[in-house]
Amino acid sequence: MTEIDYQALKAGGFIKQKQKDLFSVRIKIPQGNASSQQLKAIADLAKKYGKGTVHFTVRQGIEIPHVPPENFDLLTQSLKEVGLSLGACGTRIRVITACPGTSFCSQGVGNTIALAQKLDERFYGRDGLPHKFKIGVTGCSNSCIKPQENDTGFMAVVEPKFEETEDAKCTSCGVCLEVCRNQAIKIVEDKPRIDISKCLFKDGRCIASCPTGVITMDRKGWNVFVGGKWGKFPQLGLPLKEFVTDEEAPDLIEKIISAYTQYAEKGERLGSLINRIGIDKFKEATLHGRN
Amino acid sequence: MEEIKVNEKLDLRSEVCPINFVKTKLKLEEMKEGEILEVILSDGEAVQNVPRSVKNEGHQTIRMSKLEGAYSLLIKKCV
Repeated sequence: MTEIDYQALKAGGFIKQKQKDLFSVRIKIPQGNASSQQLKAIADLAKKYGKGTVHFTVRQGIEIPHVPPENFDLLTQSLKEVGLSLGACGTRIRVITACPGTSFCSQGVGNTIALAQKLDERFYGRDGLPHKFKIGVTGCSNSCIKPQENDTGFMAVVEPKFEETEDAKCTSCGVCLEVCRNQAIKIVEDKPRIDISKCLFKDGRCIASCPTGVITMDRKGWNVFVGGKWGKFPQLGLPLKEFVTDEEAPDLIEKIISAYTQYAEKGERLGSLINRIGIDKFKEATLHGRN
Repeated sequence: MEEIKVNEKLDLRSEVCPINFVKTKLKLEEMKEGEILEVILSDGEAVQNVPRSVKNEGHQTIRMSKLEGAYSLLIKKCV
């Protein structure tokens, strides 16, 4: 390569290192899940084109550092063969992070993998935004994926209801009362009474623990946060909307991006925009489409 | 509350998650179907996690009661 277009390379996942003519190659690991075959391939590529080491990024990706540019095409092709692609950098929609959700975590109440895949297909790598844009999907209020640190974060939430049926009767065991971390359940005349206004964490512990299945899910969805970011001026995202469904989520992001693109100045993160115009105005622009 | 006959008892107050559940599970494996195991758990994380894990293993928590700084869990072996 005679003329190196660093910006173009960075956009495609090749990040220039401090060392002359060496690049760190960012590999996207969707939802942080990789097969052993993919990991072996990455290990081989790191040995072949880098210095035999990898770096794990905070957004669930893997970078192969110390790669000279003449190896880019071969490396990209080899990644493609095992179903891997490069990670987005710059002012784009970055990789959508996700915790295991309901796939194997005992605490998860939302299918983070399915939602993250759906969002990935529609939004990943999208360009033309004022600044970078990060999306994270977490499976419960433990917030392992830190949804409030993302430009848009999704947190799975559930709300319980008490209902006895022919087959399921409450045995007044007292489990629900004790597993609730905000004392939202009281026992009245030997039966649980749920005060939904006190159901704060919406993590479904009462549902998951009820031995007879009389506490069931009343509704589920995603609580959405906007404007979180890290960097030099870190701040947590603010609540935008509660109990958003899987079907509604992509359109909501579309509206968030549309309002962000319309109001933000070039180089302004979503959180900074919200600081400047206020969350109420941003909500109005996003949820009601008033400009 | 009616008296429940307890067949086995485990004091797991000094154990942390998930060892408290592992010990519960191992004890239940030694027991016969229908027998009752009482486990004593320390207040906190254990109370949040053990009843759910018991349910996931197919057993039934029949009573949970608060003691001083601890909880008593009565578990019926179901499978």
